[in-house]
Amino acid sequence: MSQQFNRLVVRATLALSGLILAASAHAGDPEMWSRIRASLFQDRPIVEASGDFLRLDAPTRAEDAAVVPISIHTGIPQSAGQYVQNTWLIIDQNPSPIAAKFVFTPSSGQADIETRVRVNEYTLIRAVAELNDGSLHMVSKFVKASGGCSAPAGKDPAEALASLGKMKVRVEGDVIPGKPSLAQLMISHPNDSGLAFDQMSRNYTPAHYVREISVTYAGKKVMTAEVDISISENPNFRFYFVPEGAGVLAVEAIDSSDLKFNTAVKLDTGKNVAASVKPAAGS
Amino acid sequence: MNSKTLGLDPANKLTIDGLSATCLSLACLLVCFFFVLPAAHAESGFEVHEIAAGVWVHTGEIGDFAPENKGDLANLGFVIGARCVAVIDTGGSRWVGEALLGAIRSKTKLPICYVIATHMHPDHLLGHAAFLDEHPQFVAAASQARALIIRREGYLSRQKAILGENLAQGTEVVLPNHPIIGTEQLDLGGRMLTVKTWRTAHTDNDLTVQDSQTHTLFTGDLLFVDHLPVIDGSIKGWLAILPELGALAHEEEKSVPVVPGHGPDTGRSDKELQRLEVITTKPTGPEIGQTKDISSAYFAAETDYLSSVAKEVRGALKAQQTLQQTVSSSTLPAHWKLVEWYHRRNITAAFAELEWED
Ligand SMILES: [Zn+2]
Repeated sequence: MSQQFNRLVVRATLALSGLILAASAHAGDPEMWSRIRASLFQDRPIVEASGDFLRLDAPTRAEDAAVVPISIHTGIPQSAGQYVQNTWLIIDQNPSPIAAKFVFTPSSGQADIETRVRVNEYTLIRAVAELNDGSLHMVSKFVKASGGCSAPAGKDPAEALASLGKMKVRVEGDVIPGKPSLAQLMISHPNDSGLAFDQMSRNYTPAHYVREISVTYAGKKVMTAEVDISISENPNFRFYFVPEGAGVLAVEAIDSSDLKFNTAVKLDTGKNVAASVKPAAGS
Repeated sequence: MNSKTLGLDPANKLTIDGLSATCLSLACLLVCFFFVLPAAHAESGFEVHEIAAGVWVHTGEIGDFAPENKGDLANLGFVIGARCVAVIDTGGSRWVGEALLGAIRSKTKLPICYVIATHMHPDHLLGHAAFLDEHPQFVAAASQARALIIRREGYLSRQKAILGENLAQGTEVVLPNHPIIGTEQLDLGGRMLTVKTWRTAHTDNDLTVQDSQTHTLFTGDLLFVDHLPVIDGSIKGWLAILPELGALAHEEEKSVPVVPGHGPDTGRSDKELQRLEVITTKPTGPEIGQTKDISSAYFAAETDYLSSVAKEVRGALKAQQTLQQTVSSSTLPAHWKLVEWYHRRNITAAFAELEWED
């Protein structure tokens, strides 16, 4: 029933303040964005990207504001000459708007990323990609959702604690040398924002979230991500890497308590692989 | 934040005044402004019916929080013993809580010794504040306090946004001061209530109440009737407990009165036959047609829906579908209300849970 409650505020708001929303539906909150922009990019020019160069997919109306699927697609393949170096995922109206910064390399193959985020209220969600030549490109999408941050610690805290740090890595399809392979990484973690939104009892539970993820294949960097409490419980990422042959896809995640979680999967070319690995001991 | 709201007062309550409303924007301020409605309720026509001797039920509306329903969306109940009264859920606003208190006072002058919350959701417990002056014990699953502390600011600010300043006024989140672990008997004088907690199912703090005298079972939102079941805990846990919960609805082969969290209770015989007909003609649940009594049909319908969600999501996971693909390809089920609001959300919740299965 809470979701209904979450959704309804949105509906009531929409019904009664249509004018304001109509005005803001595409512009979002310009003041919020100008602050975020200034802190991340200062006064560097940002190009509005075309859909075939950079695309952001998100539901127009989120079904569950705590688990909003987001995907960022790039139209250019990663190559040594031209590649996406950094992509920021920004949720303007969230308490902590910079949800993630993904760092790619030419070995990423394709700088695409899929993840799931919490959305606290109607907001513009943006992806800003920085190419290796330093140019910045942006796409944005308005998403209707609310309340995603009001249940910051998940639905089953006992279960979450029991499986903390468990990771699953899966590589989809056959592994073909030189061709981008799609991998999915799942990390069992409450990604708990603590009670930063509840002024009454800020010490009740401290924030506890995954803050950094790094992925290598055969010892080469594929992708790293600095992430935050705007990422949903049990952080989930889909990304590409280019295998040059058999090798080990290795993942390390570090959380806000400096616990380290590792997993690795050995890949042979041509075979479809899936792996589920128990957590390594925290540091 | 002003200083008067910075701490919990002795009754463990949190008032809406002075809260910093993180979710509220300018748009919301407008909503609040337009939604100023009179909070009159003395002449409300708030109805209760006696489902079994000394067991009273108020049937909430199946729908969304809106100023017109004042948050009256959940089924509420009270049980009158020889010594005192227990209240089961208090509704989605102080207004509903006060109306319920008025209905109780029209039936008995006995003190109210227990106010029981079946789970954390706002439509079930935002009426608690109306009972503070009765000084009851606020009973809930031990896991509820944490769940409420995390969500209360969101619940209060959103209630204010939807119902408006006037209706939301005085609404508080009252934390339980009588936590239940496992099962406990509450003595009302001459009759006992068995309050029982469950593993994570609809939420992580579900609790049911059963009266020793009439065997009436209050399921909270572990049983939805008509209103599409909503998963805010664990679909696996929920499916796992339904047989045991369904068994509580029968005493020596005979069905007992059952009050679901939403939708008609089994005591409303006028609606029973009608309902049974709808459910038994449901094409996807052949086993349902063989059930003899209404509560079995209700449990079967819910089990059928949750099983179909689990099956669909497991199939999608096996086919390596993404969350987005799975949600957008799901079709809305028939025979339930509010499917537009909740079905895809349930698919999302089930996907996020079941993708961890090996
Ligand atoms: Zn509920």
